Amino acid sequence: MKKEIRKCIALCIATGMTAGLVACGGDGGTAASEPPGTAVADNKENIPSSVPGELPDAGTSVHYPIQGAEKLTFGMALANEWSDRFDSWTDLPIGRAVQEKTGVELEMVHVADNKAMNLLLASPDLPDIILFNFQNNYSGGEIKAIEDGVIFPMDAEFLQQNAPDYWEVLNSNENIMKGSTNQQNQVFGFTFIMGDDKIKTGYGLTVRDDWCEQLGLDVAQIDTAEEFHDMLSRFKSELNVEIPMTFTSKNLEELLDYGTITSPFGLVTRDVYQKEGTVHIGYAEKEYKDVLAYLNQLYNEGLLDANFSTNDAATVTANMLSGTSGVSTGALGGGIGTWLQTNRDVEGYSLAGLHNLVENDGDKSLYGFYKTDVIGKTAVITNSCENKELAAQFLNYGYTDEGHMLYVFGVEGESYEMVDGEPQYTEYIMHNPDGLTVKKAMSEYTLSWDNGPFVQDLRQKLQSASMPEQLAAWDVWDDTTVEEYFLPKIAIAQEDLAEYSSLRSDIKTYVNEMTIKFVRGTESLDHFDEYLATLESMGVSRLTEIIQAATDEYYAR
Amino acid sequence: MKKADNIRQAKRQAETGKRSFGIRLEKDLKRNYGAYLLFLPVALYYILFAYKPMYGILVAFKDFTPARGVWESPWTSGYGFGHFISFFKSFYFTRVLKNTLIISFSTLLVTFPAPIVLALLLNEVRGTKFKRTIQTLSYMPHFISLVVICSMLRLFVADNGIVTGFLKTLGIVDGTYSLLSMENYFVPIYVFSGLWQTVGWNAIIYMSALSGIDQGLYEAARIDGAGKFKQMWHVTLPGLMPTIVMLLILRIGQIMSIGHEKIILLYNEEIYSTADVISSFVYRKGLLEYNWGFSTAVGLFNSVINFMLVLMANRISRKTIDMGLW
Repeated sequence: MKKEIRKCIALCIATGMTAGLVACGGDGGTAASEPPGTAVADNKENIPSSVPGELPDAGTSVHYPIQGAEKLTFGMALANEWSDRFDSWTDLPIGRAVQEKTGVELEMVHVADNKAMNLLLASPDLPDIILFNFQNNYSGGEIKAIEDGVIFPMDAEFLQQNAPDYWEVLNSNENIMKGSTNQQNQVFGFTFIMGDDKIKTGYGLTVRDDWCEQLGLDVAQIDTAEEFHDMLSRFKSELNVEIPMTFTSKNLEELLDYGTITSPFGLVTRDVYQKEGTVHIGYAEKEYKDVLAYLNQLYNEGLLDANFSTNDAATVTANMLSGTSGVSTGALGGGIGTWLQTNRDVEGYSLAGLHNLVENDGDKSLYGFYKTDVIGKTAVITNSCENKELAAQFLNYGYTDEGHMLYVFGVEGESYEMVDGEPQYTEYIMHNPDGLTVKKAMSEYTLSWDNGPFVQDLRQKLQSASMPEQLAAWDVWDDTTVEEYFLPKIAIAQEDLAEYSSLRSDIKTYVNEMTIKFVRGTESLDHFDEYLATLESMGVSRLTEIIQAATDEYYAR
Repeated sequence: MKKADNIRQAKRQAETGKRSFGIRLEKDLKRNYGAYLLFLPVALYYILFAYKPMYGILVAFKDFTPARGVWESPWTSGYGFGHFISFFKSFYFTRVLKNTLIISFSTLLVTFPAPIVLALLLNEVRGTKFKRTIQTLSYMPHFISLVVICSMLRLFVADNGIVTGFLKTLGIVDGTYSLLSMENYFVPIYVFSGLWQTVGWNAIIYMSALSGIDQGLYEAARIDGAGKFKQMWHVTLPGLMPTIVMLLILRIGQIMSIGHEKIILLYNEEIYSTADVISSFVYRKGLLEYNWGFSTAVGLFNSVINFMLVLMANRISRKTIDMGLW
C-alpha cells in the first residue's frame, strides 16, 4: 500500500516535471539528468553548442520590464515591520517599484505567520511564487517540499533560459550552488545569498567598556579564560556589581554552540562541526566537561546570573542597561546595538565587543558565529504556477545589478542617494522623521532588512550597524578560524529525515537540560561520564553517522 | 438494582419491538417538528465541529505533510502505527507519563475537594455581605488570562518574589534564585496556583446545588437533635453527592490531558525532569518541529486512555453508590 502511494507520487512528480520542461520549450528530459556542475561552469559560451539552434535566446539576459507579462500571485507572510502601516507588500514603495521595474503585476497572498503559511501550503491552489523559510518552518526543508510536490524544481537549462543572472550567481561559488540544490542537482528556488564572508558573522560577548577602564583593564587584551574570569570577579569585588554576567538559557546555548567560550578548553563548539570532512559533535566530546567545569566555577563564585535558567531577554536587557550587570552576549544589532542606542544619553555608558575566549593571548578562536552562504527565506516557484518561465524571469531580477540595488537599497532619491559613487541610505531610513526604527523604515523600501531573492550586500550591514562601537565589536568577534570547522549547508537524505529530526530533538533537549544542571551544580560533574553514556544510548553515534553521510554526499555532489 | 435494570430493558425491548426506528422517527418528527427545528442548530454544530473533523484522526497514522493533505500523505511505518511506536519507545516516554500522572493526581487531590469545602463553609456564613465579598474575591482569578497569571506567578516565585521571601523567612529556601529553577517546587507551584485560580469558580456549582436542598430536611434534622456538623454530614453532603460524583467522573476523564499552556509558560529546561508532561512534549515535537502526525497520535492515545478512565469511573460509581453519568 505504502509503496504504491509512493510510486504514485513519484509518478506524479515525474509527470509534473516533464510537463514543466516541455512547457519551457526545450528538449527537456535529457537536460534534467545532466548535473549542472558540468553544464554550468562555462555556461554562456557552451550553451549554444550543446543545445544547437532551437533555443535562440539561451544564455542571454532577460530584458526588463518584461513585455506583455501576465499577473503573478505571490505568497508571503506579513512582517510586523510594516504590517501596522500597510495592508499589502505591493502597497509599499519596494513592492510598487519591483512591479514597475519588472513589468510584472503582482497579486499578494499574505498570511499572518509561518504557521499560517504551512496551512496555505496545504491548499491545492498555491500562489505562483512563495517566499518562505522552508529550512526552519517546513519539516525536511525545501528538498522535502519538492518531494511533496509543492516546489517546482528547476534544472540548469530552465535557469539558463529564464534566469541567467541567478544562474551566474549560483555558479560563482560551489557552496552557493550546493546550498540551493537538492541531491539531484535540482535548484529548489531563488535563494537568499550572503554576498560577503563578513556578513556571516556578528555575534559575541559584550562588556561594559567604561567599567574596564575604571579598573585599568584594556578590553582588547582580555581574551583568555583566566582574564575573563578575573575581569568578572573584579567587577564583583571592586565595583560591587550585583550580577557580573547576565544571560538567558538561550544565550548560554549560543555561547556554547557558536564556540564563543569553548576554545580555551580545546572544544571547537558544542554544536556539530567537521574537521577535514569528518563530523564531530561537540556536546558528546570529553572536552566539553572542562567547559562546564569552568562555567560551574564562575557560577559558584557568583559571577554568573543565578537566575539564568528562568531569565528572559527583557531581564537581560534591563540588567545591561541599569548597571546591574557588566557582561552579556548578543548579536550586532539586537545586543550591543540596541543597548547603546537606548542608553546613548547616559553619561559614561559605553560597551565594547569582547574577543571570543581563547587558550593563549592573541590566538584566533577556533570557532565563532557563522552562517551558511545560503540561508533563510527562499522564493520558490510552486507547481501550481502556470507560467513558470515568467515567474523565473521575475525572480531573476533580484540578481541583476539594478535589481540588487532595488532590493538592498530601495529607490534612489527616496531611500538612498549615491554619494561618491556609493549608495548611502537617506535620513528617511536612518533617522526617520516619523520616528520609525531603521528596520521599520527599511522594510518599506527594501528586502535587505529581511531575506529575499537577491544577494545580500555588506554595505547594507555596515550602514545599519553604523555605530563605531558596533563596527569595532564586529571586527573583534570576527577573529576566528570558524571556516575550517563550519559544516556546510548539508542535505539530510530523505530516508533518514524522520530518524534524524527525532534523534536530534531528543538529544538536544537532554543536552540543554544537563548543561544547565552541570553549570548550576545541581548535577555534579562527576556524573559527566554517565551523561556521555546516556547520549550514547540515545543514539548520538547514529546521529553522527547520518550527518556524516549527508556531509560526504555534499562534498561528493 | 438488578431488577430495575431488567425491567428497564424489557420495556425498551417492548417499545422497539412494536415499530421500527424509522417509522417512529417519522411520526415523532411530524408531531414535534418545532422541537426538532430548535435542536437542528445544535446537531449541526456537533456534526460540523465535533464529528466532521474526526477524520483528521487519520493523521495519527500517517506521515502527514500539509502539501499532500490527509488522504494523500503516506501511511507511517509499522502498519500505520509508526508514531505510536516512536512515542512509546521515546527516551522521554516514561518521564512525561510519570510527570503527567503526578501533576494530574496531585491537582485532583488538592483542587477537587477544596471548592466543596469552600462551598460548605460559605453556606454556613450568615452575613450576606461578607459571604458575597469572599465569593467574589475567590473567583476573581478565574477571569485573569492564563498568560497574566503565569507572569504573576513567575514574579511571586522569583528570587525576590513574595512567595520566595515568605519561604525564606521560614528558612525553607535561601532565596538566591527563582523557585522555578528547582525541580522539587514545580508541582507544588503548579498545583497551588491551580487551586488559587479555580477554587472560587468551581465552588459556584456546589453553591447552587446547596440552594437546591430542601430546607425541610434541615428542620427535621434539627428537631431530631442534630447539631451543625451532623446536619452537614447527614443532609448537606448527601444532597451534594450527585453533583460531586458527576464532576469527579468528568475530572477523571481529563487525567491524561494537562493543558500545555500553563506548563510551557512556567517551565524551563532545567526542571524538565519534573515539569515536562505529555502535552508540553507534544507541543515541542509536533508544533515546533511541524510533526503533526506525531502530535495527533499522542493526542489520540491520551483521548483513548481518558475515555477508558471515564468508563471505568462511571462503572465503579454505578456499582458502589448507584450514581453515574449514564
